[in-house]
Amino acid sequence: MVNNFVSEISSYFQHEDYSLAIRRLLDVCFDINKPALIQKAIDLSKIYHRTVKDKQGRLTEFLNAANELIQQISSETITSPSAELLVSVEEVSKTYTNGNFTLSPISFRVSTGDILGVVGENGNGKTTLLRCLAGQLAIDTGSVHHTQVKEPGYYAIKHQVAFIPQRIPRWYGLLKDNLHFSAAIADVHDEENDLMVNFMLERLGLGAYANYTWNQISSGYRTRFEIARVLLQKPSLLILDEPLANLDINAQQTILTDLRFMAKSIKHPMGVVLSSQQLHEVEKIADNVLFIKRGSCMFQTKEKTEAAKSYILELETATGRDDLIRVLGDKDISIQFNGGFYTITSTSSSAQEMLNKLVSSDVSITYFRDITYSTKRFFN
Amino acid sequence: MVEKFDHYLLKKHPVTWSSRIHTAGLYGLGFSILVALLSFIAPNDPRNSTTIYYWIILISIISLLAFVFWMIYLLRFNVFKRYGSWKITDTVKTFAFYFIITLIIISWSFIPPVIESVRANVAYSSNELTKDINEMNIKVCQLESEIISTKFKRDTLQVDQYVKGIQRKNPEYDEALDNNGNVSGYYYVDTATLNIKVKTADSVNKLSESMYVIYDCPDYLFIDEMSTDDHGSLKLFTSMDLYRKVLKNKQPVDKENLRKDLGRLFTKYSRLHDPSTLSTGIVRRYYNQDQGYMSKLNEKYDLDFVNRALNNVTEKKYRWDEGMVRLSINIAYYFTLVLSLLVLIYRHTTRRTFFLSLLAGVVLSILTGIFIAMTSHGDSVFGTWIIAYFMIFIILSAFIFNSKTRHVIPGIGLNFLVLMTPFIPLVITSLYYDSLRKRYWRNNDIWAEYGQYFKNERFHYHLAQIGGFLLLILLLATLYQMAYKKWFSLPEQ
Repeated sequence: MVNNFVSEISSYFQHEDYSLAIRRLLDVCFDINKPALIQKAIDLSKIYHRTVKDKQGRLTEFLNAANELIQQISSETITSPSAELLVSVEEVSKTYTNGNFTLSPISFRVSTGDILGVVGENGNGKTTLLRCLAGQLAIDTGSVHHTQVKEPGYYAIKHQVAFIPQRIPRWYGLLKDNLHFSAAIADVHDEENDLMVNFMLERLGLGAYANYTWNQISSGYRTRFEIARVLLQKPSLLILDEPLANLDINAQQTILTDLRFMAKSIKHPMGVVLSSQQLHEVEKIADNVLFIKRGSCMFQTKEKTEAAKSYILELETATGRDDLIRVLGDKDISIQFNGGFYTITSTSSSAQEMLNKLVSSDVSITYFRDITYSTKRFFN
Repeated sequence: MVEKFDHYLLKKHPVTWSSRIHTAGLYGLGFSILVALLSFIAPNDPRNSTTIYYWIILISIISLLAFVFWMIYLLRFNVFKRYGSWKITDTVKTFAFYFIITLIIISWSFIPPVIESVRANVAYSSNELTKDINEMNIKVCQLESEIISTKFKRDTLQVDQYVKGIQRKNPEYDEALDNNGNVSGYYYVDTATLNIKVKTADSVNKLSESMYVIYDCPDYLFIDEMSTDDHGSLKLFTSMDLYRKVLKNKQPVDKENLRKDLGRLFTKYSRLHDPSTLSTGIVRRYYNQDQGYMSKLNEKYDLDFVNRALNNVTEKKYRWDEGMVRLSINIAYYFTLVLSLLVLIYRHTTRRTFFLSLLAGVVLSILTGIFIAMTSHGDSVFGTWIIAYFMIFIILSAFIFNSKTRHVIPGIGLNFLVLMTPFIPLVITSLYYDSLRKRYWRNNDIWAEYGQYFKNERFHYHLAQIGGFLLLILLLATLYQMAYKKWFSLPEQ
């Protein structure tokens, strides 16, 4: 299995995707679980930041060090564990006492390595579902069974289930001290504590801000620090409510990619549940997506794999609607325009076929996306 | 080094670190040393009135600020509320840390009184005071023997089995006022009163088995500070001693040297005396001649001033007697106990529940006070109310173990349960002795045997104090910890 990782990482280095390469090297060294290797990966990350980002030092030094580390990890072995069920949610429902909102019965399962995306419009029950899953809100019917939690009681559940809310509570003191504290309360002490904190700082690109305070960093970095903090507590299930809200586009992609890698970690696999408005980004990394509308689960990509009844294409173009109808032919085609882009629905032509027709007819296309199987289609 | 130790605790012992025992303890002890040093070097003549009340007010304000500052730091990190790794001993451990820190902060207020006493004891020894007081009294007697009365007060006492205590024979005829204003008379007494009177009289003449004449010497203690001979090897002269030494057989004296010695002694203890009195000790030459000898001499030598100065010295020297030490320990202990319990509760409950608990406490206190005042059933009813409340809070807290959601009311019950636990054995002991006392007075009428009957009372209260604390520790380590863990982690409705 290590060979696959080595090939992957080597490919990143070859194409100068250094940031991704470093992150994957850190992940692999973490999975190999040897402190010396983890420390070398941390040192390499620091060289990377000095060399490539800060333009200090020589690139060759960095590449040589990277090669050396890759050679070392090539001789290691790691065994990928099989997926284990983490939480089973059966017909969970919740009504608020003032009765103005009800979450209808929902069922799903999350195993180690899974990423569950929860999508839906505002005020439809995403946060309610996540809080019920995290044990913060009492459920009215159904059950939430955390299979990995051996001790009875909600304290043990909350020890192993981490919840990051939309509004992250303020931190006090130095950010790095907060990370040390989180690791320590998860029984990570002494040198291991230092190692894990440094690892997490490098892994999430926070090294430069370690000695800052909460007021000195942006909201995007606060989200990253909060993720680092909860990860140091080694949760088996990580629940995030709108984690991408405060992040720029690049940071969103990075965080989602990192969450996918961390969920599928070999040393410490975990399940991830996140809610977001960024449908496409979530769908790219999620193993299962729940679409919630007015408190009900309308669609679950994993449990309900149904054949598409129609093909849907999102399109942004300067061409007018009439021209589009002429090019595509108006049989079985409906074109809606929301002021920004067109949503073209066809019962006979697939999205690829529609695209081919448009390209052949020299229609200038600014943006397109096939949303035949995306939950986006339920938003209309 | 402090920073290194801080980081060591952070990474190795987060529960200890988050209590800030190391920083609060270090700075707390440092401040204690600072206060002690300031108390030592601040101008404080033992002869002046005490300044401890100003010190106590100032340091209490600083203590309050320090307490708030510590609480602000505590708010920052909480292993329990982060659902961190929480061992069975951690609740007791954190309580111990809070107790130590609170005790250090509270102890600051005790430092200036202690230092003041140390300074007074260093400045004047008990024997020195006793010797000087005796000398002053002797010298005044020698100098003013012409005006000092030597007429003893005389009372005749007759034992009468039908009398309780003391009763005048013929109130309308037996008053005979002597020059000192003492009333001599004829009295019927019971045996106990006779024994007391005979023991304390300066002289006794036994006329028969049931009749005694007792004589009380006039007061010659112009300078009087009774506490000095309890603490030294020398004894203060009584009026009778002074009478025998000086007034019974008057001798000629060197008045000029005597006045100089007296002036020196007075100025030693009352430095605000006019320096010109150094040669004579006399403050005023004109005073009301119609007064008794005590008043005349008081005005002549301004003895009140000297007595006050001596009183200031002895009040500081002997401040820490057994009673005061016990009282101070109790004050420090109970303040520390209550404050540290409040901190512990705050760290284990939600903010809303904590402040609702405080509000509930205030409301309950007011309502209970009104009820007790209006029904006026006596002292024991308060103890009964406390026990009743405790039972109610036990019942409310028990709901936590069956509950599926977190409710405020059981949380409040649990908070009160924790706060009241160390006091329950004391309340029970108080109720027990209250009922015992009532039973005693119903069946007995002998005051003299009362002390024997209740000789173990103080010991039992001490046991109740210790027992209450141990009970608290035991329950914190077991039941209360479980209850808080369960309650705090429950989901909200």
